[in-house]
Amino acid sequence: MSAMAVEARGSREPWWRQLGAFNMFTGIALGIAGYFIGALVIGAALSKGIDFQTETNQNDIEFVVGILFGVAGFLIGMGFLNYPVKRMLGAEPSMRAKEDTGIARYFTLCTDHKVVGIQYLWGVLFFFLIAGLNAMMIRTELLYPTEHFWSADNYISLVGLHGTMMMMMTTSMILGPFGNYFVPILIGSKRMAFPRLEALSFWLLPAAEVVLLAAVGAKGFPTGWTGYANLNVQAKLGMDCYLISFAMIGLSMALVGFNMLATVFTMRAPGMTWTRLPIFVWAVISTAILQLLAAPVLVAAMSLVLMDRVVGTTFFEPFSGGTPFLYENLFWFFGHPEVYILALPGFGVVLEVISVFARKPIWGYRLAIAGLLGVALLSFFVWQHHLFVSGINANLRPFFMLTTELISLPTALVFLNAMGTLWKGKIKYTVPMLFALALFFNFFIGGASGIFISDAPSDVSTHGSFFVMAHFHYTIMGGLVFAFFAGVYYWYPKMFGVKLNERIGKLQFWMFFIFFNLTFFPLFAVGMLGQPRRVSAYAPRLQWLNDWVTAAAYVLGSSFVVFVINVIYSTFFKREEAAQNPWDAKSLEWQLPTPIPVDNFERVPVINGTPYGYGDPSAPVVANLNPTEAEVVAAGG
Amino acid sequence: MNQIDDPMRFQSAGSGYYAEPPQVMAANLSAGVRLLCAALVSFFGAFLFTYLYLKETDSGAVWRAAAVKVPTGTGVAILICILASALMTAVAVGALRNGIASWRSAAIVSEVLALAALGVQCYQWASLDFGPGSGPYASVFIAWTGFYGGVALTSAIYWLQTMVASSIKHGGSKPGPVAAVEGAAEHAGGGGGFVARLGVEARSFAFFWYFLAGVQVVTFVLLYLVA
Amino acid sequence: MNWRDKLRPAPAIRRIMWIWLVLSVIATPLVVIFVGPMLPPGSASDAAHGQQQDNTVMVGIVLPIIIALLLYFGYALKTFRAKPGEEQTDGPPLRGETPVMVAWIAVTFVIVLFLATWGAYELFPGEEGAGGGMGPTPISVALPADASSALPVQVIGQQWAWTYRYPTYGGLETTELVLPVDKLVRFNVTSIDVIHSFWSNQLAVKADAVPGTNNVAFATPVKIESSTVRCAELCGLWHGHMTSPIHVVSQAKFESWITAQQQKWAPIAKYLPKYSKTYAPEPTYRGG
Repeated sequence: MSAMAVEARGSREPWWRQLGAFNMFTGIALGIAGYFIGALVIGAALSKGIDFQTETNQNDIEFVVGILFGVAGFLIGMGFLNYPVKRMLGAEPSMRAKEDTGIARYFTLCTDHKVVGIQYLWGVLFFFLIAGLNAMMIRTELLYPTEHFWSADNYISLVGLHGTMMMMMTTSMILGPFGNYFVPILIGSKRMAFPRLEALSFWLLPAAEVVLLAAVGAKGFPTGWTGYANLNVQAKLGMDCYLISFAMIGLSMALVGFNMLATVFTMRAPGMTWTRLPIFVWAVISTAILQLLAAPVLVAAMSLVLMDRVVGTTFFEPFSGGTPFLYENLFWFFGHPEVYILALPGFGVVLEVISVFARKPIWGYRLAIAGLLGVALLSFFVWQHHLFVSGINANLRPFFMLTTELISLPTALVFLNAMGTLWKGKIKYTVPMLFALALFFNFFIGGASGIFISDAPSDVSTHGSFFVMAHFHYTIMGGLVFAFFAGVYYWYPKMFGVKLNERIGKLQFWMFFIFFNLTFFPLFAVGMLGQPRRVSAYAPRLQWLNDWVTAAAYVLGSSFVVFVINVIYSTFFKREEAAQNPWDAKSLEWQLPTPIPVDNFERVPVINGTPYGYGDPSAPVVANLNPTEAEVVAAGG
Repeated sequence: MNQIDDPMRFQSAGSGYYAEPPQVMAANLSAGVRLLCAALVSFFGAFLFTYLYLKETDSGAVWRAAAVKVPTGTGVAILICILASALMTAVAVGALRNGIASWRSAAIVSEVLALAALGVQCYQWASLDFGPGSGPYASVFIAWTGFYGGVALTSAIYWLQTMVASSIKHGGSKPGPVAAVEGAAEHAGGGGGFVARLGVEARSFAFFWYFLAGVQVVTFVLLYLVA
Repeated sequence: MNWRDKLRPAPAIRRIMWIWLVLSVIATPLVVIFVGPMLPPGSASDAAHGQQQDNTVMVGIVLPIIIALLLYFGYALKTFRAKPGEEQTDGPPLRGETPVMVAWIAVTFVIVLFLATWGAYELFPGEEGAGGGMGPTPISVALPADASSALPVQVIGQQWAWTYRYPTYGGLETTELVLPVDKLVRFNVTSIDVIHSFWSNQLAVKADAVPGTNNVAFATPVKIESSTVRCAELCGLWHGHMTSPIHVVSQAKFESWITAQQQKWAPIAKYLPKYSKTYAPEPTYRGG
């Protein structure tokens, strides 16, 4: 590479040159063009003569082909096809140079994993807020049992959009921002194993969310986030948006899992043995295993439904040889590992945070690893607990009841870790610590309610009711989302160089925590008293409970406004510069300067110990950032 | 354009370069291809489950109506092409010890065979005497062969094509063994480093292609023999 | 220091354990005895009563766990707080203690095994379990003892209404579910379009209505009351409005109601489809 080319890379191009390159604008433009070409030209040609598609205003073939071409156009416009085409024509395999300056790189295909992490952070937050607004609209509807703010199809689409958007977004809520940003740093690597695929996994997320939101213009979809057959075959065009966007997220999930595992398996720095990995990386590993193995089943299930709708296959048509149970089994085989994909990274983050703010090593580190991997393994064997009353073979119920109850064992190990880490610690109640501790409170309630619904006889009454809703909101929102905010407050100084304001943060925390519990705890009662899920009409005797929940939900929603205010205030107005290691943590990312250089490390470090050397003056510093050749060789590099 | 693809070199925070040893890319590729196969096991596993579940529940006893005939002829042709292609890939990997040129010839034959398989598959789709609505067997057949042919087979052909094309464009024709990984000194641009990388990639591709051939065997048994 | 001293927990832990013991021994029986009978789903049927018992047992197990966790976290979060203003020091490098881990794993394992066994036991209808849909062919050991003499009722779900048929009364079709008290009922639940779910919260019966499948559930109503059947599986636009009344009445009243219905619908009874375990709707009439 000539010196000239190097300088050209480092310097800023004129803005009009940058706009003409492959970026979000070309992506969107080609995406829109792709949709119209796909729908009006190719889709119309393909559906010629198929009356039940062309003679109605529900031409699935046109719509699906349009969306697929639109997505392809978007990805081409972002520049994802450049490298594959170059390789087709004989270019060598190569890494893509990382842009290290300019805000424009956040809107392009950037292979710096730190940029991808920040892209994910804002992307995830943006869709979290939209889906949260949907939730406010749902709760507004439930103020009156018989009066309705939204029409029936709008309401049912709202419910589906809220659930689907949240599930799609939460799959990468922690792995996306913090996994991508910190895993290479924590293992002492300068890059992820497959940086272009990492960028692809991010850009699939906004593309999928846009496709999903397009359902609003296509008459919505009536199935909720679970998309059960046969309603999904019967449904109108908006259903195609759900199917394609969820399949895209499945692909994105599989890519993240693939990349994380490849990176951790092959790119650990010399001296980074498995028992010196931060527990967050172990959580990423267990999550990645689940993502890699469960997400393809989702893609398959969504494809089968699309084929039933577009091509006319009979997978789910009971009177033509198919069965709706096929969908239920395929979906939940993915769906149950999916919820552990949501829960496990949260555990990783809060264990890190608790260790730092109790100033103690993680108590029972190997047990924690066993817990995380145990949950991951067991999660493949429990899926039929979603189907206890569905008419599956009743003989299977005791088996799945056993496996589901067993999964509380490795989960309980994580609690033991937290409890042990707090023992004789020197606890500081910073905002991240508050969020981390709250996770254990919430997750216990969620887990205990899980005991009830895992019991098949008890589940007969609670399945499909608000009890289940309260259970998963406690575990996912009370677990993962709290862990997400713990991670945001904890890692913000390293990612952005400013600290988020403590006082506003504490205000957000207490509003969130108190009103989260006030919102969701009564829902256990609502469910047990007979209100099914996803309804807009309910028994009038339950109105007072629903109204209480709605009022609390409004305040809960406002707590996120407080967070947004905190972000804007701290990042753009107050700008209190953060020290390199404001929490005095001992893990590797805090030993690096802020902002972290584009290649993370000047030299690949040599790892000397665990990142939990608290309280032990003889414990080595976690890594040697400037090792000599001899030290590298001695460590096995 | 402000985006340049830099062959395995990174500008570090100061000036100058650091060379990433080829062992890293080799490890990435071999781990990556195994992870990819694990994901594909899960993906095709879903279709396997669909096949077994629908066959077993056989609701309405219409798994495969009498009018739905199994296209055995084309099925056998596809299987043979794929197995032959996998065999040629094995030959190609063995030929790496004689240099890139011998690898290339065997790889081209392998690619042609894979393309033939894809061609026969397209012909089979066009000439099927049943449609997707002809029952569960027909549905599974079309979905399974659709994904196998349309996604797995085409991506294998694509990968093989990239290697063949880049070996034509860059690879030396000098004979000599291609080790799995060469020293860092050989890495700094030019033929030696490229050849090492191609060797690694060829071995990883072979793993992937053997796996897909295995999937095709399972496909053949289930869709054509057991049906 | 012999093994007994080594295994002795720290004084603070011992104190917590005693407090926990006292609180649990007082609170758990109180809750089980007084709150238990008030727990949902009540006892309007044998299935409901069985589930209520299940819930009571689980509350009885979860309550001491809640007390233990609250005590420990309350103690730890208060006692081990870093003194504000004190210079930041680290805590001791405690990495784990095998006896604690072993004890924890053993106790949680025993609790889980007990719950799983108890739940499986409760599933056997002889023990008032059931109430849940068991598919078309529940194995014989899962059937109640008097299954063969149960009153069969077919529940047909469709978008967005429930229809009930009484096969032993000539396939009589109604939109209100009326059941005689103290008689085992065998629900045969099916659908003619998409998946619904037949849920009577009072009877504690829930069975998914899946097209093409006959989903069987059993329950014996024991209380004379009226309530509402709701759909518990999202089935489209009016899922929330898919309700129907359910009346549990005396045997005599039931018989007279049946007779009245048969007389009312006699003129069109011959046009009703014959009773069948599932119904395939005319393709052109299917919803959507």
